[in-house]
Amino acid sequence: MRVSSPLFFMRNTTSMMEQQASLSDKNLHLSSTKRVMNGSDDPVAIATIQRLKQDLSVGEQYIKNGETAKSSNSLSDTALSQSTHIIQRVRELMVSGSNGTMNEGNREAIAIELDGLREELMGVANTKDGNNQYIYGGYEVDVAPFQKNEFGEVVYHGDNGEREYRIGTGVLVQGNDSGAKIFMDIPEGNGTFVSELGVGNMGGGVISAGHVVDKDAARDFLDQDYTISINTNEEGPEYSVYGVKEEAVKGDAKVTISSVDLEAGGINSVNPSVNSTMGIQFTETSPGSKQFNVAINGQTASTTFDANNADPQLLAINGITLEVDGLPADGDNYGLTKFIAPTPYEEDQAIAFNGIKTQIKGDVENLDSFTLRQSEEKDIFASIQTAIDALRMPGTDKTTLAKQNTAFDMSLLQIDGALDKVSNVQSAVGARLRSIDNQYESTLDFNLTIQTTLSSLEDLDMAAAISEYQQQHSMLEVSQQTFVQLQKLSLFNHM
Amino acid sequence: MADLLQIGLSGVYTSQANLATTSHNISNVSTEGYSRQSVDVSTTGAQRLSSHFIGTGSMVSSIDRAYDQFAFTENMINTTNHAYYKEKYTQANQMDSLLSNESTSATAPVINMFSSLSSVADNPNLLEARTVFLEDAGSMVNQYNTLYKHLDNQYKGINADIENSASVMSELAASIASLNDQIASVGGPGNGAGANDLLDKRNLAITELSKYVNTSVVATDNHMVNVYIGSGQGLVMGQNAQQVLAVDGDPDPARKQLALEFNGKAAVINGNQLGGEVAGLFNSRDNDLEVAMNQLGQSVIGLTHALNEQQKQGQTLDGQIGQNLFNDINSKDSMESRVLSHKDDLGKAVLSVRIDDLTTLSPDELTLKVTEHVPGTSIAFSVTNNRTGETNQVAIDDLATDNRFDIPGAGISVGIDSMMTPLQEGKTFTLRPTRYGALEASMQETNPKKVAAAEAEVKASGGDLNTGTAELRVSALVNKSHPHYVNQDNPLTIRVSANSSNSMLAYNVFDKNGSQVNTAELTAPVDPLSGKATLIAGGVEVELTKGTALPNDEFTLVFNETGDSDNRNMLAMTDLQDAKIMNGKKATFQDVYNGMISEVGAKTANADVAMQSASILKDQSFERIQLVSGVNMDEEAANLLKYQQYYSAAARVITVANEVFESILNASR
Repeated sequence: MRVSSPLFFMRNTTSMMEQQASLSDKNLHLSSTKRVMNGSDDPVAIATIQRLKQDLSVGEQYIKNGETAKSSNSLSDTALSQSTHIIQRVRELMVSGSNGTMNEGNREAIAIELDGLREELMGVANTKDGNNQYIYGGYEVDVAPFQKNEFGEVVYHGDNGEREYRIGTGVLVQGNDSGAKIFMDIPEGNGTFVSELGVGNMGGGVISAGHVVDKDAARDFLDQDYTISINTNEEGPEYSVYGVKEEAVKGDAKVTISSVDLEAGGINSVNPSVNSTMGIQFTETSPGSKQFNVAINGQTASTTFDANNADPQLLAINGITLEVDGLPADGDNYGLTKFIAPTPYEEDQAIAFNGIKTQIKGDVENLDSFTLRQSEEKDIFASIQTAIDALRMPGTDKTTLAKQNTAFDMSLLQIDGALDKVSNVQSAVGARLRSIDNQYESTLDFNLTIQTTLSSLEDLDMAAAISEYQQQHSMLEVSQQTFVQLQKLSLFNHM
Repeated sequence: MADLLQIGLSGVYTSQANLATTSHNISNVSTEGYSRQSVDVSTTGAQRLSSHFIGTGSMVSSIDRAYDQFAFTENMINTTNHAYYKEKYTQANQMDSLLSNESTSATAPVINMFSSLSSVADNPNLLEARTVFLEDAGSMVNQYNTLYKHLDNQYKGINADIENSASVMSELAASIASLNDQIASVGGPGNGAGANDLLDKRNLAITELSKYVNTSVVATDNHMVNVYIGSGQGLVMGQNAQQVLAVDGDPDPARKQLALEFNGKAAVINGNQLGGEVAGLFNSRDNDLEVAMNQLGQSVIGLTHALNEQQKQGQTLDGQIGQNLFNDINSKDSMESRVLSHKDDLGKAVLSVRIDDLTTLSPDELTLKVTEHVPGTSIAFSVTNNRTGETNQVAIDDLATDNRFDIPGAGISVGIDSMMTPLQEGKTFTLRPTRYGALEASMQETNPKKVAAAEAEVKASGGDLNTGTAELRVSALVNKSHPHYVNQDNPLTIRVSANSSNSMLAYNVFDKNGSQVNTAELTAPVDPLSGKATLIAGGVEVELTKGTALPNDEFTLVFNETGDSDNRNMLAMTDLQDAKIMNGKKATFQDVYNGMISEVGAKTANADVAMQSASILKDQSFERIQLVSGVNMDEEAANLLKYQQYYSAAARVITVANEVFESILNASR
């Protein structure tokens, strides 16, 4: 066979060039330590590689998010611990303050310390994080969430926003709790009723918190405020129990029975018999005047209720005195029900009605009244303030003491409610911190798995690659040497 | 007696011819296309002397080239094939390294953007986090722009190559025709066969031509050849050559086409069927590059549009509804740039393509053809998917109230923005929904405060009993001190009272107690082109984004607690990273991009393999030519020695003749 001379050169150069190209390609992969550099290196793997890289980055982001969530929860945890300490100290002080042996000076000292603790608690509630943002303001992080208004009451300026962090696929963790939930929305009294003494009480009687003893019996009767009114006749004091319930109410007024005088003229026209109901009707004298005629069972009070006056007002109708506060609407209708007819009063006697039980201690006077008001929500700062106010109540007569004691009892119950709130939130925070840690671990594991897969797909097997490289290298050398040897062979050299 | 001197002389002549041919071979050892030549020597006629013949010497009967027609044809075919795959590989490889290389691919910038987006979710009111997010979003968009520009440069390069190939092919055709002419004129009928070097030159030109296109050669009279390209278009007919022209594409002038001139008219030929480098260029452009550009556009359109839409659900640090972060993919310019009108005299109109649904949006291009048009009343089209060939019929029944129609299953709708002259049956448009997506992608927002991390404080929702399909979205909080501005306790209800032929909506607004708050009935015109309308209630603008509202449909506006550190909308944005909202809810944005680089990678790898096997075939056929036609130096060296000896021997015959003559002279002396 003839081999043409150009072909001889061509074959050799082509072969050497191919080997050089392959060598350079191997060199490129070696220097980047990557098996797959371009899509053409492995068109199937490249898609998986890109996806894994994204997963890896997302995993790293989850860890970062987790760190942010952890730091804000930890900060909250610390603040809540502080709050618990402060509230516990408040409780201690109140328990000692309720001790009847204290003189005015002692009580003032406690009041001053309570005042200090109240300020301190406000400081904690206004805790800021590293970014100078309030942690208990919900979504409103740039204004102090707890601020005093001109009356010295604490007003919440935040909202109920709860920010969440994504710390895993489908796993969101809360990063903050709204301050309203922790410090503001605390149930009054024992959560069902608040016990109060009538404003005009003359006796030294106190009332305990009202408890539900029979849930079934009480079920339909928890939506009213109860008044236990005292009447004294020749045989001694008697009590009767009335309830006031909102029947058709659009306005925003509060109606309670202040006292019932069974001796008054025309009392029968406004005093329902046991377990029957009479209506309390509000009629605006003229639209927009905010002056209301108040009538019980059609018997109108001689004075009108003036809603322009912010103070609670007493309206007497044929022996029944109503205390009205707030802004009613024209046509508002309340139901007045008598649950217990006058019954002889004995000290420490249990008073039970509608599955609810309470107790009155101490001596009572004619026309005294005791109220079990439906529990609403009150902030902790106000509760402490109530205790401070009670401590500073002037006078040492039995009526004052009775009022102090009742106020103290109620405040104490609220402080306990607040402690419950704080510790509930704190345990939720603890649970979040734990789940952040768990998620952190699992994300790390997950990322490690991805790294391994990614490496097996993308990375070069160095040992194999180096040996291939060397093999290619020596092959090129052999080609070069043979070429040089062969091209020397020419007949012309011998002519 | 034979003339010894003459015999010797004939030997010298033939040896000289042999030596000259050998030298010619040696000199042309590296001449491209050269075929080894050899001298065909025969005896001169013998003299009859009574009963026997005495030879009179030798003579050169012809000089032949070593040539194998079969090997030549085979080489031509293999050259065409190799050139095709080489071009395919070159183009695909360029795209492959651009799109999938770690430093140029869009993967990393997209990942970075989502990372910093997540940081904003962690610290929603930290301006620094927001600034970083906007920066990263900007560099993501830039990366897409850069990728588009590179692909576009490659696209322009291919079109320039197509133009160059047209002129090269024309030149080659002209030189083949002129060689035909020379060969025919060399020696009259039959003698052209001897024009070895001219034949070699012509073969070289034909082989060169076969690199560009599929070439076939048919021999004709006088050793001339006709050359046909592609699937049989005549390029050279004897002494006449055709011009190959590069003409503007229709409808896209930048998309060059090849044409042959016939009777003064340019007849377009399908470049994809020409074979060779030209088909490689056409195929890479039409099937790889354009598809990649469309897919790149699809991926960035999906990404920016989804983020924009989420942004509009949220509220900024300024307390306003979020506006577009990126360019509006459905701006008028963008929508109109997606439609190309074909050059025909069948009417003139401006059409626009609006992207409505990312889920069904595909990177495919479509052809829209008018099938019937009753001006002012109705119009019907057929729509064909250029990749799948699937055809659908669409129509607008009432042009007075509706100027837009959906393309089934494509996630887009086409609007007739304006019609200058009525469209006639057969009028054709090409739709490219995603082609310029990566070019047009840009940042719209630079103010970090305007990133809508929070949820909007007023939300609109449709009633359960609604009979219409309308979807409403709060688009602006115009007047927050409006007496009926929605707050926690006071939601508003919009009730549609009338919808006159879907061009004017009438509605009333009610407060929570069911009292009407507006005095006179309110109205909102429905844009016939976009189908959108803006309603106003309690200082809030509400936009009807899609669907139709029917009378008695109700939409409530409710208050939603929010604030500076609300991150809910940002969390929703981060969720988009792995939300399967593309390609029929089967792919994330990343998957669309990955699919593209995977496809390009596979094409590159396949073209590489095909190119290598074509290269081996081409080398083999070239070797076969060389086996027959190539010059071997050792052989020529041996020939040189051989013919030198023959020459000496023949010269010696002349000396002998001289001596013989001398002997006779001496004998007679």
